[in-house]
Amino acid sequence: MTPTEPQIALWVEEAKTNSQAADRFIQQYLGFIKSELAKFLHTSPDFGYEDELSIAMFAFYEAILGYQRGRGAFLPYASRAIKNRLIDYYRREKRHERQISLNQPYGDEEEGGELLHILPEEKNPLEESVHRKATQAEIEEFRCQLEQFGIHFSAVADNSPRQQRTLNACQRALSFARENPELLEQLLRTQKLPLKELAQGAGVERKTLERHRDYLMAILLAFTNGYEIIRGHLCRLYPAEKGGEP
Amino acid sequence: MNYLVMETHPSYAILLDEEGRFVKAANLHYQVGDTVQEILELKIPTAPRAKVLRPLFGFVAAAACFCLVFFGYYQPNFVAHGLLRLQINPDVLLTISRTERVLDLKGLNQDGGDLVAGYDYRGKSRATVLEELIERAIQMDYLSDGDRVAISVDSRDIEWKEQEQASSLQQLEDQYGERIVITVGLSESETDADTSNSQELLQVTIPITLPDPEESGFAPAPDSSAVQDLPSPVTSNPSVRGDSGYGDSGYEERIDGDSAYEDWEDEQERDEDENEDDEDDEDDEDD
Repeated sequence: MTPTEPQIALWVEEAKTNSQAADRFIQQYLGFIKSELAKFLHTSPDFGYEDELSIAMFAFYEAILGYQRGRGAFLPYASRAIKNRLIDYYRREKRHERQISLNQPYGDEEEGGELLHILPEEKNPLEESVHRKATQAEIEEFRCQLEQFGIHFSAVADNSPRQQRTLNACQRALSFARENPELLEQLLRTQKLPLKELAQGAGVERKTLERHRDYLMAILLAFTNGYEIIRGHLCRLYPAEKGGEP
Repeated sequence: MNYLVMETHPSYAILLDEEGRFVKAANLHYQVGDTVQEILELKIPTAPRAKVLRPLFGFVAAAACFCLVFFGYYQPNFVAHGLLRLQINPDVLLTISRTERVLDLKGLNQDGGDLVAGYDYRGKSRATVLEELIERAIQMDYLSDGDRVAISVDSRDIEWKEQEQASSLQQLEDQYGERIVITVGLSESETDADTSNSQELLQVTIPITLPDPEESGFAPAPDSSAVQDLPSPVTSNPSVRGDSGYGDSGYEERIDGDSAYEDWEDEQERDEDENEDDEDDEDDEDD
C-alpha cells in the first residue's frame, strides 16, 4: 500500500532528529531516488553512476532536513532537491573535464590495466592498511566513549559551530581547558561540562558555550586519554602554537 | 583541508576537519578512518522567512513610500510652515510652506481684501507673490513713493522664521528699497489703524440700533464719518446711559453699569444736544 502524504510527512519529521530513522527512510525510498536519478541521466543508474547515486541520496537527506510540512508535499520537494544537487555536481565536475581519470584503461585492455597502476606507489599499502585499522579502532573507541556521555557523532555534527566567530570562541574555551587538565578530570568525573569555569577562564559568553555543549564535550574528550590519531588530525585547532593566526 | 571520516551512513558521512569541526557531507563511498580532501558539505536550505512576514514587507514598503512622499514632497510643499504678514496699508497674510510656496492668501482688512481679490497665488513662490502684491498695491494706489511697508514672519521654526524674514526684507530692499521704506515687524501705525478700524465698524453698527424716529424725531442714518469725528467710542456711544432713550441696546451687559461713565454724564448730555441740533439742521434742509 502506498503511504499517504501525512504518513510520509510524519516519517520525515522523525528522520530529521533521529539518524537511524533517517537511514531507514532513505533505504525505503531508494527506489524513488534511483528513479529520479534515472530521469535525470536518461539511463539506468545501476552501473557506473555510483557517485551520482551517492549525491542523489545525499540530496534526499538534505531534503529531509530542509522540509517544512506546511509548504507542500515532501516527494516533489525531494525530487527537486535531487535534481538541483545533480546539476550542481555536474557543473562542479565540468571543471575537471580536461583531467583524465586514474582509473582510465591503460595499455592492454584485456589485462584490465589502469593508469593508476603505472604510478609509483607513494605509500606502503600495508602500512596504510595498518594505519587505517588503528584509526578505525580509535574512532570506534571514541564513539563508544561519547555514547557513554549520551552523545552521538550525528548530534555533534549538528551541534558544531558554523560561523567562524563562534568557532574561534569555542576554540578559545578548548585551549583554556587544555591548559587546565583539572577541568578535563572534572569533566570525566562528573560527566558534565564545567561551563562556568570555561566561560570565565576563556572570556567567552556562557550562552555560546551552552549552545555548543555536545561539540565541546566531544573535542574535550578527544583530548583526555590518548586519541593520538584524532589529536594528530586536529593540527589546525591550535594554530597559535604553530605560529599561525590565533 | 583534510577531513577524517568518523561515521558513515548510507546517504551521508560525518567528517572531522582539522579545525575540530564535525561536518556532514555526501558519502562518496567513504570508510571510517579515511582521510579525504574534496567533500560535498551539507547545505540545509535555510528556511525562507515565514510567509507571515511577507505582507508585512509590503506594508513596510508602502509605509516607506508614503513617508518618502509625505516628508519629502508633501510636507515641505503643501503643509503650512509659517505666516508672513505684509502691511502696506492693505494688510495681507500669506501662509507659506517650508519651501516658500504660498499656500493661502487673505486680506486682513478691507483694503487687503481688495488687493488680493482676483489675484491667483496658487503655485507661486513667496518672492513672486510679494513682488506682485506690491506691484498691485502700487497700481491700485495703495502705495506710493516714500510710503512704509512692514513685513513680519511668524513660525514655530525660529531659524526658518529669521531666515525668511531676512530674505523677504532683502528681496524687497533690492527691488523697492529706493522708493519705499521697508520695516520688519508689525507696524505700529498699522496696528493702531487696524484697531481703530474695528472700532469704526463697531461704531457704525450702533446707529442701526437707533430708536424709532418718532421718538427722537430724527432720521436714523447718520453716516459713519459723523461718528468718526467724535473723540472716543465711549463718548460717542449714547447708549451707555440708561436714560438715553435708546432703550435696551444690549450694551449694558458688556459694560458695567457702575463704571466711571457717570463722570461723563454732563459731557454726554452736551453731545446729545449737539446731535439734536445737527439733526434739526438736516430737517431744515429737507424742508
